[in-house]
Amino acid sequence: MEIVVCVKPVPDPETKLRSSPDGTTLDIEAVKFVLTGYDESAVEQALLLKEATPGSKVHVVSAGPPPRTEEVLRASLALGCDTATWVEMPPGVAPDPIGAARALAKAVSALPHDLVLCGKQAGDDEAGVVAAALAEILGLPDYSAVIDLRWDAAAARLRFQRSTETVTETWEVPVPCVVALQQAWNDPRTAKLPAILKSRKQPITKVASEPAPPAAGLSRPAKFELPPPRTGAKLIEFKTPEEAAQKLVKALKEEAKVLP
Amino acid sequence: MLSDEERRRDGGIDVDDGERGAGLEHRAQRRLAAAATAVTDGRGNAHDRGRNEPRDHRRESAFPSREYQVDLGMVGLESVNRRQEPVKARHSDVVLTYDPNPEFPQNGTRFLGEGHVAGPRGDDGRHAPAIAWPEGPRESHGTTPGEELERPPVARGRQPRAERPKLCGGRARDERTRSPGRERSENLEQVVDALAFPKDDLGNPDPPGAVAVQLCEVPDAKCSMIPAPAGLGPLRHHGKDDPSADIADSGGSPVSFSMVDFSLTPEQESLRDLARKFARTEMAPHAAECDRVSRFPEEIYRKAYELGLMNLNVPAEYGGSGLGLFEQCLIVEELAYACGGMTTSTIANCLALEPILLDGTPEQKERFLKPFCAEYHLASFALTEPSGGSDAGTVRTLAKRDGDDYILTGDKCFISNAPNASLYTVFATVDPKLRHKGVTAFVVPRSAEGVSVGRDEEKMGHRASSTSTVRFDGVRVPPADRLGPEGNGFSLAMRTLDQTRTPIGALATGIAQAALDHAASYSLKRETFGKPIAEHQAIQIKLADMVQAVHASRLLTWRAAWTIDRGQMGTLESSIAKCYASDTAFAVADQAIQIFGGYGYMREYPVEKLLRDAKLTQIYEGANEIQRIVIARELLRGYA
Repeated sequence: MEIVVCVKPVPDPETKLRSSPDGTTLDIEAVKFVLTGYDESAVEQALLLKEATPGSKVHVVSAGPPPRTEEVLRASLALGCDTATWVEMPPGVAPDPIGAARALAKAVSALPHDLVLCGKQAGDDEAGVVAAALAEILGLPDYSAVIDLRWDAAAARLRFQRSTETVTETWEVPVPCVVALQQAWNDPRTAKLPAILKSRKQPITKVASEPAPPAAGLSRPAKFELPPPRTGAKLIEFKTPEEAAQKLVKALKEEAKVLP
Repeated sequence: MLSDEERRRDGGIDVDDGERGAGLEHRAQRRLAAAATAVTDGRGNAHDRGRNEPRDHRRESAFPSREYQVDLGMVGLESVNRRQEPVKARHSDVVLTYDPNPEFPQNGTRFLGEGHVAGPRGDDGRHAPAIAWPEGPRESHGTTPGEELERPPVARGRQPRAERPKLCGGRARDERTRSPGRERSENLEQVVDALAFPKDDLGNPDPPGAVAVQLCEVPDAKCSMIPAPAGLGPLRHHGKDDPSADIADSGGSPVSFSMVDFSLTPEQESLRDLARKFARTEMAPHAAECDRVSRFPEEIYRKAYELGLMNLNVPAEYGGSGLGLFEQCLIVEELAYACGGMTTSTIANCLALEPILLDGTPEQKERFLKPFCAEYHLASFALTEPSGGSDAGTVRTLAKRDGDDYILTGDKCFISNAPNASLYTVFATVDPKLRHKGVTAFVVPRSAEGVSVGRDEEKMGHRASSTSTVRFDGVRVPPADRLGPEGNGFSLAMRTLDQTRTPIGALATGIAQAALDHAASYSLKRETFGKPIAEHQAIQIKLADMVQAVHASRLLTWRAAWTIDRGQMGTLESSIAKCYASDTAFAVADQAIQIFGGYGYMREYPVEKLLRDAKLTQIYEGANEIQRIVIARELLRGYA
């Protein structure tokens, strides 16, 4: 089974973020970009499928500028992906979701693909557009918010679940298709040290992004603000549960003013 | 700002024939001018350290400084090749110009030879020499200075291993004992030594030999005698995207000043990130509990092994991670940030296996290291005895000859991981009267008859690590398990500690950084007299002193690791790093407790553990008193 997994470099959740001087995006100076969240789960799912299906290969694809895109591709190689393809954008140019889907489609269509895996949404902008747009461009069916994906080789069917607030759906679908995965349901593995060293030397196939993405993309946010800094929590000290409840109600009434 | 063309010309690369003389002249003048203004003696008199002034005799003994051009082929040095443009580096005595796209030799240059710059570990698992030369005379290429040469055939790119010239074994310092059959100028020999690359530029343990090199001497007397300034580190990552490049190239100062770079390669960053993630998700959550009940968390050590964080110094071909010392230090600091004791147990294998790496025969490495590294095992370095630790020449454990075999009898104490180890490297004496000349090293499996391990010691700190005595009661050891010849053991122990001392500096730096982080964040939360204590100058001054010492520890550690990775002994540097960083760790943890006040003294808060953990770093792997003796000896050697 040929599995393509699409990943996006997103800011390390531990990085302290600032908005850019013009207030329309992140200030990416000193931001470390990593493979994380939904995409990390997608890579893990691809590797689980590969391990369960002898003869499978996992191809990781990403579209974006250097050096962050190369770093997430190498991180994916270190985890166990077989090949890496990079749709290279000019430095500093990060594609908007549709631009990314177009760029990824170009790379994916050049690769053998029985299954295309994506994170349900990016860990940074959480647009949730790429997988659907990619499926549209590739002319493939698309399933989102998927967990627990398995390949039934005998029946040549993918089986997976979609879990919503009210119901858990079980699906059986033919391939090829695009599947967008939920985050971190599968406890992503950690790359081992020798694999990290090896990944630095593995080749990465570069694909030119044509046409060049418009600098502003098709869509672009007008304003970008970080959430206001959190104010400190108030700790209530108590000796008995009754005392705790009394103090809490008092604080909710008099300080937070959320109770009459 | 100079154009690329001008910069290249001023850098001495790719100067075409018509301009060459003028370019060199221009450059030489600039450098002489720069040297004259930059170098002043103690009385404030500027003097040219070039041709005319008497030079410090120690520098005189070095070969005359020259500028060399070096063809790096195309592989290995990623930082060079990414940019595909010349990069300069400076050794203490030469300026080297690395050019990934050269046309060598150029008119007016003299071809000196070609070879390969080796990676940090050679085929035999040791640090390879800086350059290994192909067999056979290369002098056929050499001509008199100034004579025009045809470009000799150069292997470009990475060759299949079998086709590559054989790498000489041993480290660069061993390279000086080259066989007399190879006639090469002393100058060239030293250039070869100078070419030991920093590990993080080469960073590739496999294949160990990576870069095809040609050396060409620029026979221009005017620029041949400018020694590089003393005491500065290597120069690398010098390129277009380095803003300092423009400053250096246009400002008339020697290019060498712009090329110190403390940034990590992406590869090093990913190794550090791996260690950081492991330390903070696997180790830190259990550190307090393991410390409280003195538990040896074997499940954590197993995970460290699975991720490749355990046998860091063992080459990949024997199943280890094959890292250079610099990368080891990056990892050790991250681990120690979470728990010093767990770090000691994690890296104890590096110490125990280093003697096998240093003096083991290929057969011994194959026999001991491969099965050992193929699965989770612990090993211990058994040198210290109840009667003496620092005085390693007075080993009393006896290795008595019995036929071909040896019979080991004696006690070792304070042996890290001993209760859990399956292999010991043991230092015993064949004759106590010979003192250090009788010390001999052996590899002894735990399963050998007569080996017994004492109870796990109750320690002040490092309580997640296990420590005990090991008794050898008539243990029979075949001569095949002896490391090196009889009497080699003292030297082997010292050389081992030369390698493993620096990571202790990194370990101490990790503890110190943790103490600083705890103290700084606590000082912003804790309020006295109506404001956070961080706003009181008394606390600010403490924090300022702490952060200075932590930064200095890290830089000294990096410098020591870098020195050893490029094939030098690094005895002075590693002793300074270990001694300074461990004293710093203790002092910074002490101040952190002070900042925490009464809370800091409570076991419930994390900082008192840091003080207890830091204390050991001043004692083990050579007590700091011994380090100071070594430092003073190395210092005074330079004045004798």
